[in-house]
Amino acid sequence: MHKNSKIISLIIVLINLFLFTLTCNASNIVEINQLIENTITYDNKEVTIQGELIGEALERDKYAWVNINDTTNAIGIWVKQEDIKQVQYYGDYKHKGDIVKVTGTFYRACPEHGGDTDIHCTKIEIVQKGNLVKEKVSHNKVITAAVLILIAILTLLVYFKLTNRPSKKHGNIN
Amino acid sequence: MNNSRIKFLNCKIIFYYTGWVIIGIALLMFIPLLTSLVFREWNPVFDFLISIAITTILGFLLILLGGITRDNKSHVQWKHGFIIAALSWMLLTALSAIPYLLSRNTNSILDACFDVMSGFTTTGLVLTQDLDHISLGLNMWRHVLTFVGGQGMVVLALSFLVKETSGAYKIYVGEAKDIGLVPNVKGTARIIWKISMVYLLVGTLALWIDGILIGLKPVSAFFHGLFMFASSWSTGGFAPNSQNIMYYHSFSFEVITIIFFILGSLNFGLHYAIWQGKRKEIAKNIETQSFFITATVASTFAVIALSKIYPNSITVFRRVIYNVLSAHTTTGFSNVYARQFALEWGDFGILIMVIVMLIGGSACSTAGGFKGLRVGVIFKSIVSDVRKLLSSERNVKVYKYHHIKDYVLEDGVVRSSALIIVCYMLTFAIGTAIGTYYGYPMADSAFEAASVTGNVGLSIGITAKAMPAMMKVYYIIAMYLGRLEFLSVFALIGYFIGGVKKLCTKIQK
Amino acid sequence: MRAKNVIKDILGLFFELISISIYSAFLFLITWLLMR
Repeated sequence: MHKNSKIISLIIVLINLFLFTLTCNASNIVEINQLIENTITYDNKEVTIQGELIGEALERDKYAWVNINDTTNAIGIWVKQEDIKQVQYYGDYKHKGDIVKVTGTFYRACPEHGGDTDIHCTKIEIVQKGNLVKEKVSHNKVITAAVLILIAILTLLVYFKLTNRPSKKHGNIN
Repeated sequence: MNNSRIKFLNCKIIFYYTGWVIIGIALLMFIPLLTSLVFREWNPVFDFLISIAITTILGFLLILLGGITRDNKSHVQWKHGFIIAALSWMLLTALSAIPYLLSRNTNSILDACFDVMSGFTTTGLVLTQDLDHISLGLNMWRHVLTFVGGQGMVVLALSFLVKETSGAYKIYVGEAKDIGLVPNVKGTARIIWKISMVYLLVGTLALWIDGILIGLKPVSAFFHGLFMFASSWSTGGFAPNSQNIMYYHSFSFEVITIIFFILGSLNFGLHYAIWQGKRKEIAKNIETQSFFITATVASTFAVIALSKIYPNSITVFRRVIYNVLSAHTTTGFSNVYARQFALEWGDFGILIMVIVMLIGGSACSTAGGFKGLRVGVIFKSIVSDVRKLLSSERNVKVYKYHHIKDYVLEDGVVRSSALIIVCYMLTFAIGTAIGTYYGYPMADSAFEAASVTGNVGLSIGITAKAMPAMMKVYYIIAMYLGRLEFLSVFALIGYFIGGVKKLCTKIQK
Repeated sequence: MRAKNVIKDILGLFFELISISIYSAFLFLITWLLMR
């Protein structure tokens, strides 16, 4: 009985440890702004950030730069091209980019990249897929535009009418 | 009754020319409108249609109010010139903010005006939110503003819209573009535009090609190239993304921008002289001499101070020299995060930046700051004064400086240079004081104030949507004063106060 | 005549580009020397 309970408690401890490390990783997500405010502390350390991919991937050789914006700030990630093959959307006016979780080494002034403040990615996973953003134009805007354009055209017509009249006698200028 | 007749005429002249400048901006708004149309961004299309309509209406109303001026242009005086420049800038700021407001990317009218003023004055500080998701149309507008602001909106309107030019010169000077390249003002304005257009072509092409080489897709590389060129040449500092030039992670891209922003910070007269074949001008000119000396000295000190925090020479060149040059030419591109200036550079590094930001670029260029011409003149006058003290009284030596032509170092020139420098220093000092009043550290406040006064655009982290409204207001005023070099704005204020005084005395009677 | 003007302009343009490139290279040289 004693032996069994020991094994069971060992298993429970192991499961707890496992769960603990899992949750630990999740709560280790750092805001990019935190990194920037504490560059010296985080320099050369492994960090995890999460944010939206924006713009596009800048492919260089077998690697690529991707820029991530997590609403606090934005930073460049140096990542292997094969690791971002799954990415569908990058954020811009018409798209919401894929949200990714990136783990990697943070560099305050990366010697490999001419002093860039960047993260060399060791692990990247897509947390939420991005999408096309449907654009809606409010009716008010369309109506306002139409009305104003009409007034503008009227003003133009008035201007041309008035300036094409033969000039009045200058003696009457007041 | 004679007085009121004259005043009436004054107003008409001001309305007339201001109206035409406003029409100029309405025409410019077609550029982002077309961009959004091509890329099917419908909200911006309507935003710009509304903005164009409002601007056109106001413009033609003002022109009609200024009616008589069409036939009677010889009455334009210096004061009109200054006032037209100052008033145009104020109205244009309000009108150009309309697209920003409609896009909902700015939090308030104040923020929108801040961004517009930042664009026009080629400063480059940003309060627009979510830059990474703004429409191509609005991004186009931001960069058009900075490009045109650098050239001078008044100069733009005059060269293309107004037929009569006798009054034009005075308005031209009001916008601080007083360089007579050729005898007539329109010709000069056209030359400034020709030089800029040629560079626009060459620069956009260079950045476009490099953009593709560093991994951007062809269409986006074109827009990045165009925007970054416009921002470099105008020494503006806007970039299409929130990370500024860090978005590209590219040494080559940065180097190309260095070349164009230094060129953009040089005097248009210098460009013209060199294009006419007078190549020695680049070494003889007092402004290039001044810039090369101050830039080299500042860079040297900065490298010495900051070599400890960067690992190798390429890094130091990219992170130190680049930013010093960006500051000195009052461009404002930054490949270092704003907060890193505060947290990593140390006080000495920050001090060097403050000094070069205030010195600025060349006169009659897109740059801001005291201007190399004034720094050079003051320096030479100190040297000449010391020499006069030391030499015998019978020795009358004439001191000269070379700026396209040879000029005598007269007291008048020295005095006006010194006065304007004092105005800049005051604006800077007040900006620093306001920053510290609101609790920001002294070094940070000084950095931001210098950036604003010199129309630079580098930030140490103070400029943010949460910044106190009073500071935003002051920064807008300082950017405006710095760009128009004080005189126009003072003339406008003086005119306004004069008008109010007369109104008050009239009411009393 | 016009062609002559265009050539003048182009030469001027290249002269400026090259001069500033040389200045930038000069600053890089200073950096490199100071970092040794």
